[in-house]
Amino acid sequence: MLEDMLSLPFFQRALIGGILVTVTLSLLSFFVVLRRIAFMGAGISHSALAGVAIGLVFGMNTTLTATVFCAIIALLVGYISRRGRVREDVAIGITFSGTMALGVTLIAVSGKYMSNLFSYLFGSILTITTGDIVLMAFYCLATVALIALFFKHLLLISFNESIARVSGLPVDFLHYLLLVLIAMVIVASIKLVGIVLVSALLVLPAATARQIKGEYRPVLLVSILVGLISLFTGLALSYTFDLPSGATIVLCACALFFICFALSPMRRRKPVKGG
Amino acid sequence: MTDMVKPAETEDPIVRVSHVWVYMGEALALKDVSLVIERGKFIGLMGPNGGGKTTLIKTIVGLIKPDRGEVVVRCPAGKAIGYVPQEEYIDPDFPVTAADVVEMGLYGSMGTFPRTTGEHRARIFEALDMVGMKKHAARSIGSLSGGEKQRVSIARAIVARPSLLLLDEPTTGVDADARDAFFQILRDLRGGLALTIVLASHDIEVVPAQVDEVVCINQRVFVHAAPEEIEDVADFRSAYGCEFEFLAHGKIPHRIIGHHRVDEAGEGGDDA
Repeated sequence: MLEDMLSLPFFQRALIGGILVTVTLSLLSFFVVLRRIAFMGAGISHSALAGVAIGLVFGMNTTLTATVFCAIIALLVGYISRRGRVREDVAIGITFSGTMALGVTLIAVSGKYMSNLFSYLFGSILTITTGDIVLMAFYCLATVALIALFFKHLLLISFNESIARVSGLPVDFLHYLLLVLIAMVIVASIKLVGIVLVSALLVLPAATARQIKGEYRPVLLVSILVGLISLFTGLALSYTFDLPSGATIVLCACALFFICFALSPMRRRKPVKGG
Repeated sequence: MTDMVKPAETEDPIVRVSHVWVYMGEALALKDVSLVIERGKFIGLMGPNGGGKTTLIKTIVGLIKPDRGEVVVRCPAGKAIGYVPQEEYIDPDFPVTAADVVEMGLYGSMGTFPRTTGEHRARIFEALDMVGMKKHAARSIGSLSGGEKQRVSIARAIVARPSLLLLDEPTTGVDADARDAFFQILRDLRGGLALTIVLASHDIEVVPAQVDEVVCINQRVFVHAAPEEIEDVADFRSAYGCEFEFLAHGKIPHRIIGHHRVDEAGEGGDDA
């Protein structure tokens, strides 16, 4: 069974692409959970549909249009959340639904692409090409490199932005950089898990890891491990039982979270009070 | 200005706040505040809740830009400002150890792409040792008590060897023994590192006995004097309590604060 699965070219591409985006999403999920921007991640990912639709309607490269559109939405939501007069959750809620509606409308107006809608929303590993793998590798490696370079700074702004500012760190730049990196990896993940489901992988790996370990180094490693286990198990179950791959990967990640949550030593820890 | 407010002139102050006004949205938080902090002093910044202590601290460290006026902080080259915010703004479950938190105090001086060296590690453990937390270096921050967390926060703030340390309500939620130990640590650090310390607190019972000068603020500076220069501690305590009580009703007791109009005290401000 395993040999059959691994001998299929489309499955090989799905596995390579999956490893690239899962490791990167797991790393990003560490900061998404620490900075409590899970809803922002969901808002950015849903805006990708409008980005893809713009590419389809105007005959442009959909990855390029989705990247640019997602990055603009990420920066816009990030700006509003920090400086706007509209509350962050309201701004994301508006963006979330507005960009989805724009995407569906644009695809409908174009008339000939509705059949592709489901694969953009929920992923389709059958459509992953070698070109997609190259693109995923570029986006993911660039993201991992930038996270590695700025890791300590991102950790400090997640811990306390005021302390980071007093230390002289470019807090706003780092905040927007993280959002743009999230936007890039969301676009890279569309064919694997889809626009709707990718936001789950921006939260679940680190949320699961934090049920197990209380210190960031093991949390990072466990996050990546959770992502990869979800990927391998999800793809295997998907192949065996002919299930949609993206949804199966996300269900595996959810199952891991609930198992770890139930057994978590962190949950049993009593809060410390007093002097 | 009152008799108890020092003139804003001295030869080489580490902090000079000149006629600073700060609005938090529509509300006036600081009103024409002028203040000089001399090098090496231990200042207790006191006042009622919502009186602007946090706003003034944040204005001095540069987190809040004054709407009017000027703040000048003169630290020697390479000497950062040490800042300890209120503990409530720190996530108790953040996945870091005490040593990791202290290391964060060095990030600002590590350059664009920070990497930890052996020298950095030595300084981290030295700072933890100064606050008596070296043996707890590997413990997660969430497992520490309130007093231990505060000591780690101080170690983080001093690890870059600042010349100015500002602490915002550092003893809130800390029991009496831990509070005494905390002030002893501050006294030791002040001597060892030649620190100027500004400590914001509403703890009228304890702080005046620990500091060189008391600055009493409620939107503007009402009192800036050495504790012993205030007629007597009992008077000051009484005035502080009355002031808190009377300010809400638009009056200020003249025994401590002179040369003002009663209607100036009616505007409330929030600690940000």
